[in-house]
Amino acid sequence: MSPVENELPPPPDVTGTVLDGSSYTIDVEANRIICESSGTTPAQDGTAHPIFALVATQVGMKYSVGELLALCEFDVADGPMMAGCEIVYQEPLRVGETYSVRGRIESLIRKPSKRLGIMDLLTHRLELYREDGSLAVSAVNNWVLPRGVKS
Amino acid sequence: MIQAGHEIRPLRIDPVKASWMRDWAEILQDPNEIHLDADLVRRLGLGHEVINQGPLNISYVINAAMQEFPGATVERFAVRLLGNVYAGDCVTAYGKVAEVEVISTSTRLTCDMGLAVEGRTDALSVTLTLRLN
Repeated sequence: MSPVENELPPPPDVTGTVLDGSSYTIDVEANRIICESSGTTPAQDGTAHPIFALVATQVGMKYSVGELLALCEFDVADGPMMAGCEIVYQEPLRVGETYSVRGRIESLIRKPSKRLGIMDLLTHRLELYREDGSLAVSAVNNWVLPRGVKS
Repeated sequence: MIQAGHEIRPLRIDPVKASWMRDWAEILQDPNEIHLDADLVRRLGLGHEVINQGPLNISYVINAAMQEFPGATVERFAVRLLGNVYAGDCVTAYGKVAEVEVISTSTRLTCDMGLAVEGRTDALSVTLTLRLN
């Protein structure tokens, strides 16, 4: 940690917060909208668009995006930005199938930023499980939360 | 046989539409107003038009790869978001095969991909791994 980072007030202690949520069923109509708005057509073999890995985990986790950010003492109106993600599929997601969502906050790190002032880097892991309990997808997401105070 | 260096046909989206962002906000249950309210985007100093959702940008890249390799399944993708895409932008998903690995009766392709934004720097850098049976 740099001397500047040491001088920053610590971020909220949210590491380890459990994000296990409810179930998410991939809807035919949602799949159609996602496919058509992104320049393709729904697959004919019953598989869902792969981006449902992000959609289902975000919608099905314990908290809404706004609530998750509130845990980090960040207002969703202040412009959070997705910085990156890594998704690993054990199998393709399927339309009509129901997945349960589990996850946790892995870290919240505060850093100085020349462009954003102080910013927090939020990393959380979310996983989708089939009804038989097998893992279908894991997703690690990184968000930038600009605090808006120049360091 | 596909080889490393194989170019993926670009997928062009022109223009990116604000109405799609409203649809995705509903599907994502995402209350972030930067996707819905251009005035807020301006007040935050983030630009002049509503900002496309990150997953929607990623979808363009996945679709370019899936259209190049019909029937492939996505095994993994890693994304760095480098910039914003705004309503009205023209974007192009592009890429090429970086590695080819034959595994029994199937082939694993690792693709280096990106999302170009006309007039600005790329919005995404993506490493996408596909399996072809």
